[in-house]
Amino acid sequence: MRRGFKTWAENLAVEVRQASGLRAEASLSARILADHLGVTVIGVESIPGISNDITNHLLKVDTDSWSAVTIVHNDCTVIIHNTAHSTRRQESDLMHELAHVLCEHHPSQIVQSPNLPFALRSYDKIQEEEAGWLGGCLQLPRSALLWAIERGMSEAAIINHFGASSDLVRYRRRMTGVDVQVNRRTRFRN
Amino acid sequence: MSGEIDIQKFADQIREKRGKRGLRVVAEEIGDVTASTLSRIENGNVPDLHTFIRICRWLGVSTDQFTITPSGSNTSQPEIVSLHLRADRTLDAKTAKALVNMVQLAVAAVEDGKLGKLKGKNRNAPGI
Repeated sequence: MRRGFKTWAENLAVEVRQASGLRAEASLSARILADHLGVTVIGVESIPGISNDITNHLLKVDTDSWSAVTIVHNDCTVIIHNTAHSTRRQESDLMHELAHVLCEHHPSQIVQSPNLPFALRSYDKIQEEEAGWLGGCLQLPRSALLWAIERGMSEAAIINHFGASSDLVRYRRRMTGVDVQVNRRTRFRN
Repeated sequence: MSGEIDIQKFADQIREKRGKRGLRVVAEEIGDVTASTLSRIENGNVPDLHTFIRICRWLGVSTDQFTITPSGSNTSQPEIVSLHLRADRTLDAKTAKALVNMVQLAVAAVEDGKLGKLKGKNRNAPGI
């Protein structure tokens, strides 16, 4: 990741809440953030003109291999996502896509073939790492996590409050070191 | 890069060059690709761009060998900001086709004004 990126991401996660009229420790849903950014979010089944064959394949036959696609066309940004996934996973996927938008990542290349059905796409490791990190921050900012732990919220309560998965909560706790910080404060007070 | 690609020809050439050697040995030779990914590609799955380029280099051919520029292509290519797929770097051919069709329909809906909001028509986003 670029130098300073992690700090920028943490600050941005708080800024987007404030800009949306929310407190820094509030839960932020991907849909509210998308609306705030002027990004359209749509499930694949809701795309005008989509056939049952396509939705059946993408939502039932092979639902595990894709999560979301973000396209930019005519100045509109649209995220098409996999609605067959669990609610928590959809939230995480949407935050990841919105993170790409906020990072202003360059588009992948895609090759289309009308005759032979496939597409090539490029995988940019750094962009994916950045979007992964920012997505996690957007769902669970460090300052909000600290607020929750200092109030003695259980892991289950944190999961419910922020709409995050248990994996994300544990990951963010580990990566931000908030538990160490809270323990130090407690020892100092005592 | 844009155009059509003959995935069957691609898979055939890989199998031919690999011959009787094991997938693991050949994958190591190509570099940055696993044996299982290589196996899926030989069976007609779609590689990502990086893997496609690496294999073309290993085959000793230009990527043009497998690409055909279509004549009279119609709509402009949308920018695909991201295509969020599972970690595996290959894609089932039918899934790839379904995703491409999905994107084409979404783009058509945007062009018809049935989908999407123009930027700048919403509340201010935080300064970035």
